[in-house]
Amino acid sequence: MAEEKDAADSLVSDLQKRITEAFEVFDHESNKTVDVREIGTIIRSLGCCPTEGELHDMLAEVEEEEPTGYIRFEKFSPMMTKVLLERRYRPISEDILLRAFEVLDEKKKGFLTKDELVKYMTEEGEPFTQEEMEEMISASVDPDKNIVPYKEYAAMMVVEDY
Amino acid sequence: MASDVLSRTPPAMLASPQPLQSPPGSVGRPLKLSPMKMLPSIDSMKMLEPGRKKLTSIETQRVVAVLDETIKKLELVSLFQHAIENLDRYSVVFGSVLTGALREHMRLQDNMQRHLQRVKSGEDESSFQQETLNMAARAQVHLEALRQGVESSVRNTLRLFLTNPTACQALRSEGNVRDQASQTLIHFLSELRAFLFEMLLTSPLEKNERMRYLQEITLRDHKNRGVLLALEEELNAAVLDRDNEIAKKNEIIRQLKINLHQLETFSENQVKRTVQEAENQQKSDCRASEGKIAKLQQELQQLRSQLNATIAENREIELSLRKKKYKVETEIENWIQKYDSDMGEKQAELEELDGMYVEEKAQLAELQEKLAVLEVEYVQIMEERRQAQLRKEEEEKELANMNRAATIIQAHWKGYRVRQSMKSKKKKKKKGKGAGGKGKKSKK
Repeated sequence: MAEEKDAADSLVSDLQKRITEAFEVFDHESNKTVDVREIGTIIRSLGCCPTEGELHDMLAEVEEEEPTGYIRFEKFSPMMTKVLLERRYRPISEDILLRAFEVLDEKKKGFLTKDELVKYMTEEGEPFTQEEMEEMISASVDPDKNIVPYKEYAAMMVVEDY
Repeated sequence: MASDVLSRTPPAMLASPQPLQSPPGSVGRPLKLSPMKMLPSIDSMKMLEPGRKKLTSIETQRVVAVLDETIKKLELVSLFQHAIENLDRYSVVFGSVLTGALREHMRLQDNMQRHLQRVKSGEDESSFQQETLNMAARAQVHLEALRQGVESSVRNTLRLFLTNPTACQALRSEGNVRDQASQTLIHFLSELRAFLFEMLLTSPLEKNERMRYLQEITLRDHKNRGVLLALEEELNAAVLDRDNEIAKKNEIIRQLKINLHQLETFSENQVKRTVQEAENQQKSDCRASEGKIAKLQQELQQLRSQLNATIAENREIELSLRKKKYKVETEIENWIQKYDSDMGEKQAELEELDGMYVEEKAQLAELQEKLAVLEVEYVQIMEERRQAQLRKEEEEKELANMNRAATIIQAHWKGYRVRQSMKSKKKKKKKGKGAGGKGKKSKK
């Protein structure tokens, strides 16, 4: 029991350390606050892959009653610890990701054309901004054939270290 | 019952006598044997008789003759008194000599009598005087003389009688007037004569034999007496036995009678008691039944009155109902009449309506034909619509799927990108932190 508890305690302290580290990256003024828009980056940097909707929910939880545009560490830290302990918003495995691509690949040809990718990413789900879209195209589209070989791409996207 | 018991006992009595009868049988056997013994007794009688019938020796003949003579003379002498008393009657037969002798004898006899009387009285009056002693001696001498006189007189008279056989005959014919003593004497003398005669007939040898035979007979007699005694004892025992038996049987009979009596009294009592009980029961039952009858009668009366009341009531009700019924019947008749008229009207109406109905039916058929055509069209349209709906749903589902897939990809892309940038930032961090952060911010 004691060992377990010790192990749990050490796990919690370890997590809090990592959260603090991630938080401090964006605490530009070093007053234990970060911009609201940075929170998503912090959460993702901690290995979570929430959707924009889920992120919005989390933000609602940690935001002050009167929105100031900043999030305090005291609020953020317990919420994030809980999320990590409960292992919510964990990244999914490669084949599930692959299957998501296959859904979009209606004709099962094994790849997506650039137009298809743009169409789905900007029209479906939580549409990308133009900026985000361009970034994704630059990273994923084969410039020669003008297609997305999503099998390779999925493997690349899977979180390696968690 | 009693007679039954009495009639039943005798067979038991008859059954037991069997052993009782046997002792008389044993007693009777010697009686049956008696004829056999009679033969020897006849022989013995012969044996006892003298061997000869006549006296053989002269001496014996004489002895017997003397005895005979003596008896004859004694007979005569014993009749002297009678002859003296009736001397007048016999005087003719006796003759004067004999009469005189008899008178003399009478006188002597009287003298002797007187003398004997005197001696007797003298002895009575004065036995202690000297004189009397002398007188007695004198009388004794006198008496002796008198006795001799009488003796001689008797001899004399006897002699006279023997010479006069007619007188002898006459006196003897009166043989039955002798006095008792002389009669006895004559009897014994004749017996003595017979005995003597017999003795003289038998010889000493024969006598011995006879004695022996007599002894034998006596012995046998003795033995027979013994047997007889034993048999008598046996008989007595048997009789006793039988008496005992009878006593026992009587006792049994008595007891049975007592039992019977007890039984009778007991049964009588029981019968009496039972009768009494039955009577009591009957009485009580009678009383109870009388009470019940009375009660039932009362009840009956009550029920009858009730019934009468009910009948009267029901009569009234019936009357009223009858009235009502009559009223209702008339009403019904009215109603029927009304109904008939109504029905006539209704029938006319119905026929009218029927006509209309047929007309409308034809119209309906026409319309239905049209409707069938329209229905087919309607079904086609509905099918198309349904399919369109399905397609739409599918499309929506696909869209949702795509949305989810896109969302996942987008989310992961973002995560990937952040991590990439973080990696590069970390690399940059080695050079300068602020530049990485700024770059990233600008991107966003």
